[in-house]
Amino acid sequence: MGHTPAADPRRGDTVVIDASWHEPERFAEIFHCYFPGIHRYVAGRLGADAADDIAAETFLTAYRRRDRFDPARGAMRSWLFGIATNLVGRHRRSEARHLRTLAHTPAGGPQPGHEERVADEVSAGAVRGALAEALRGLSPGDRDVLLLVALGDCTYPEVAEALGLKDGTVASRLNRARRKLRDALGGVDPTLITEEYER
Amino acid sequence: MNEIDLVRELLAQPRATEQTTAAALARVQRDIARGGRPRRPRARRLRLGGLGLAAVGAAAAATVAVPVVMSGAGTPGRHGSSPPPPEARTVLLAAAWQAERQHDTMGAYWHGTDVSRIYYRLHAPTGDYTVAWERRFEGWTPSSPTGRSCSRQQDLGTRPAGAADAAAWRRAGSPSELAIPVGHDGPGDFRSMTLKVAASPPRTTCQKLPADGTIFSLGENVTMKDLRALPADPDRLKRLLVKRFGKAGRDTEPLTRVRTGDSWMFSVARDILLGMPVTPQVRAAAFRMVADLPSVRTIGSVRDAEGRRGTAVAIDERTSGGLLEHRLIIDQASGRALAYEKLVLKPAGDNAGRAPGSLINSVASLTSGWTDTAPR
Repeated sequence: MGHTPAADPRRGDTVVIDASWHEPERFAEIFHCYFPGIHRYVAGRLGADAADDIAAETFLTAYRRRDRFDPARGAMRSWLFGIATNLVGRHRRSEARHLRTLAHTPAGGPQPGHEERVADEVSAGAVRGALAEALRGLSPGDRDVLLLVALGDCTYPEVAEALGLKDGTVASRLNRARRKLRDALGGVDPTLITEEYER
Repeated sequence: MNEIDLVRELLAQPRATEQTTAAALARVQRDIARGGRPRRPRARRLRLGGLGLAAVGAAAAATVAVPVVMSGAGTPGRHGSSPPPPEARTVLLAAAWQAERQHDTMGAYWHGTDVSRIYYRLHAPTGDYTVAWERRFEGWTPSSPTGRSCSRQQDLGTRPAGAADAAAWRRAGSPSELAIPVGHDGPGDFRSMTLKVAASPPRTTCQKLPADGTIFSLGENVTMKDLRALPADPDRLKRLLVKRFGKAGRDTEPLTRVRTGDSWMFSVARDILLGMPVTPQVRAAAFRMVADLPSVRTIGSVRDAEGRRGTAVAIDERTSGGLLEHRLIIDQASGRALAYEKLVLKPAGDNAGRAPGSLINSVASLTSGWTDTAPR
């Protein structure tokens, strides 16, 4: 069921959008098309406040460098995620702080009077903490790949284009990251606390 | 539910609203209309550790008017706590982005070619003039710790730096040999060396690496393996360099003897960027380290001593020789450092005879990359 480049709708868009880079008045189209996705990705990594700035900076950087965007080397979407990842990479301390904060923040308020739920909340909190700590402990390269997939909804080839990696490297980084997360979750069976995450 | 879904939920944030999106678009369009310079009105909220972006507004405003050519006035007032102008950051981060994508297939030798120039102000009864002593260096550094390293050096000659200097040199009788003052042992006791206007033939020498296989000095002598193993994270790289250079008596190369501070970090990054066989990721990290320096500022588009166009960023340094400017000239399209240049903005001491904004020395990197062949 693999997509050929021609069958991938995002690729089709790319050609149209690439042409419009050179028409400043159509910049808004590109922006509206990709800003929400980039913002979601950056917000997940650095928090919502920082995301407003970094996501905007991603597009400004892209605009400034529009002449160097080469559709032959990859899709617009990958290119933008690459720029965003690069900018996020400038804020590793912010990201670490963000993850530390998440590790110590409960998912939701406890539900007094319902003993089972309270027990589940404790377990959910432990998972959150372990997960956030594990994310913080990943190497920057592994974390970039994992979060482009998890937050950016990027395919392997898109991640490869965004980061300038080989497909195989993307796969091995992702596998390593997932293994580390699983190890960090240890005895906690994530499936048991699924409901607590559905907000 | 797998780990990726868990991560997704852990990190989920509210979606950008229509309002947020429209506001961001308006902001980016405004920045584009202003010439594509990023504005960071809200950057204070990011608080980047010790290198915060606080109060960017004033610094950014000061940046806009910086001229392309050497400006004696410059903007030397920003030091220490002031943030980097966004444009210098943008230049450097873009270079990092590009550098990270460079090809890097190791060969038998790391091969680099550069041309170095030192500028001297000469006194003549018919009028003073400036000459540039040009030398070309070519080096082949083996990947193997037991390999041979080769170098080829050529004195390209010492000639008047510009048209006015050439006229003054002719008025002085077009001397083919020039006496260059190179320092003084005491008051009035100048030593000098003689440089020729004509070029000399190149000299090539090869020799085995030292027994420990070291090839470069980076705080301490390092092997190819050491260089290839440098961390790609800018913070980790910086910590490692600070530690290495912290050892007494090791600091043979960088331009300043102070092992902390922006000009030191700038000089180390410059050395890495201009000639060392590090991985593309480490080259990117070096750009990012410079981007993080609070006092790095933008110069804009310039031509290097070889006449190549590039984008320059700079850092100032106060020395006994006056206020100096260290420039790194970058080809943004490739993420390669083209050249380093040192200028004097406010001459004093040893530089008292130089004009404000004039070059002291420069190094232009012509080629750098891997090759499988070296001179026999």
